Amino acid sequence: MAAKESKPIMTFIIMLIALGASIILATMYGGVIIPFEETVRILLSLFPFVHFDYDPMYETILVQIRFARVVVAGLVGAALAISGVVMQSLFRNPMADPGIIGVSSGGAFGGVMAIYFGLSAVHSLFIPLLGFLMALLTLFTVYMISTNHGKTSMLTLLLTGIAISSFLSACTSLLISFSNAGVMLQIVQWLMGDLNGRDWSHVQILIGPVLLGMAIFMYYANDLDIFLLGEEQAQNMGISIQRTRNLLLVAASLVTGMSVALTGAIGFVGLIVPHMVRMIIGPVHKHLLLNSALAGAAFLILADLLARLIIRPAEIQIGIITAFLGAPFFLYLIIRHKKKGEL
Amino acid sequence: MGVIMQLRDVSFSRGSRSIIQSVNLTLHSGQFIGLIGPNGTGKSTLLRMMARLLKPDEGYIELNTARLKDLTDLEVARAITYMPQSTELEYQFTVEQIVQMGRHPHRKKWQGIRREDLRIADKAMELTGIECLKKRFITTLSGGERQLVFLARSIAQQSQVVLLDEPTSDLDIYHQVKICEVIEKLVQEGKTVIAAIHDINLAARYCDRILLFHKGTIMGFDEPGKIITPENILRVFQTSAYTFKDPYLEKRQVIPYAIYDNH
Repeated sequence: MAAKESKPIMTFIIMLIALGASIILATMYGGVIIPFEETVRILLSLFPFVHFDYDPMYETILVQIRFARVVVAGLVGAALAISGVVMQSLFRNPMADPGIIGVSSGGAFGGVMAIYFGLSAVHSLFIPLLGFLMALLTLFTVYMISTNHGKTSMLTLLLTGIAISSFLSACTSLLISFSNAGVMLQIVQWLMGDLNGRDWSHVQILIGPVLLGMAIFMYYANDLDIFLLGEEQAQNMGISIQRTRNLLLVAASLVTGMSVALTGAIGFVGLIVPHMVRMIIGPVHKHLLLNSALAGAAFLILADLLARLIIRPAEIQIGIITAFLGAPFFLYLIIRHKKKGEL
Repeated sequence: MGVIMQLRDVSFSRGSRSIIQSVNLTLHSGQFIGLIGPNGTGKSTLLRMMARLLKPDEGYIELNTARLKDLTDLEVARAITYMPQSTELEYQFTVEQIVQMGRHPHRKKWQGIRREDLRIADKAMELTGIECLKKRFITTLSGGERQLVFLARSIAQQSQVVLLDEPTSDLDIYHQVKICEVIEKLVQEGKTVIAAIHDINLAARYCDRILLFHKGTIMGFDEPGKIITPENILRVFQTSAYTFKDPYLEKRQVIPYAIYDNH
């Protein structure tokens, strides 16, 4: 019994260790392998009031080149995982994931619009801004179409997601075919973007929205639990459902849209991570959100490391890695729900 | 006992179909009221309006002399509990976690479980006799056990008015009687419980008042002995029945024996 209650805390500590380990691994390996001890010394020296001796050459590689990319990967992983958690509660459906329901495609289309209409040349923040707005529009559209009294049938959700994604991909393709060669290259590069060449400027853009989103989600963690009992129960327990739901949908779009705008659509993180964490510690959102954020961060940092190392010195897209892991997992979930007669 | 809730000329329609027609009703505290009527006569709609999950198209509802529509969501949640017909849930919450959720309207949004909440939730589980299920997953329980858990959740909410939509449907006799006995205890504490019940005999045994409901209107609201008559049963259910006072329970009971299909 006591073991049960301490489980979320134990899991949290393990996740922290896993995140730390993934950061060390991801900063160690690359074109040059930095020795383990050296890596740990440099990383610890990043904390205020801590200083160790280290080789400045390694420090340059680690801090200037690798670390920003690792932080971006961690932030995006955490962002996608917590968005998944929140969407699954709001849709009251375990299959809700930013990629599957089309929100990522929406964010991507927003980014492409910003480039196509020349807004990104005016200010680089227009890409994440339009990404956010289109993600928001998509999420509300999918919610309105697929949800009935706060519950979404599995089939309606997946089909709506397919339709919306296809439509938005077509819109993106249309804009690309209207573009001249220069803009087209810019768009395609951005779409393929992933984590290559992400630096501290990206961290600066991302960290605010992700922390804000996380704070909002944590504030409403109890509400998210109760949403799972159904809309009427939530209302009956004093939750102003419409207001709360709208706020959470906006926050989820912000977090997803920003991530997609900076790294392109990385699929399945919001599906795999919350499911795994839920299997270990149960559905209570206070724990689920914190642990999913850490697990999502560690997961994407390691996925990015793999993407960098597999065909070194070249890189593969991180989306390929997450899809290879995520698609089979998604199919497994479909088979499981089919057995229960829900699909 | 004082008046707790009043419905004045309350009507509700969905599209062109009228579901509730100008209902007037005064409810006193400390009573167990059985809501009886055929399927599809608007019993659930009536309960939902009383819980402010639906808003009446016409008329108004008063809770302790305040208009229900003027209260905040939290005020309503603290005063009125509603338990839906279906309590199925596919997420692996423990029984204890579900019951503790009843404390939500009494704590700050982000707040965890306080000692007081623990005590109240434990008491609710004790009252419903589900302490032994405390650590079990809700997904592993039988329908009857699950219904008791959600009843405990309603009790933990500590509201004056408890609205239950068919709490005893599809349950075995043990759980039917168990739920009615728990409701009796709540009523003794001064709460007002209104429950839609299909089993007329069960309602006659436990309820202080029967609200006979048919086609969106009240056909009668009185003590069970006065409502449960062959005439009323025929009028509302198109069923011939005879009624008798059970010598052991000393309550009026009904036995149906023929149906009329005259529509």
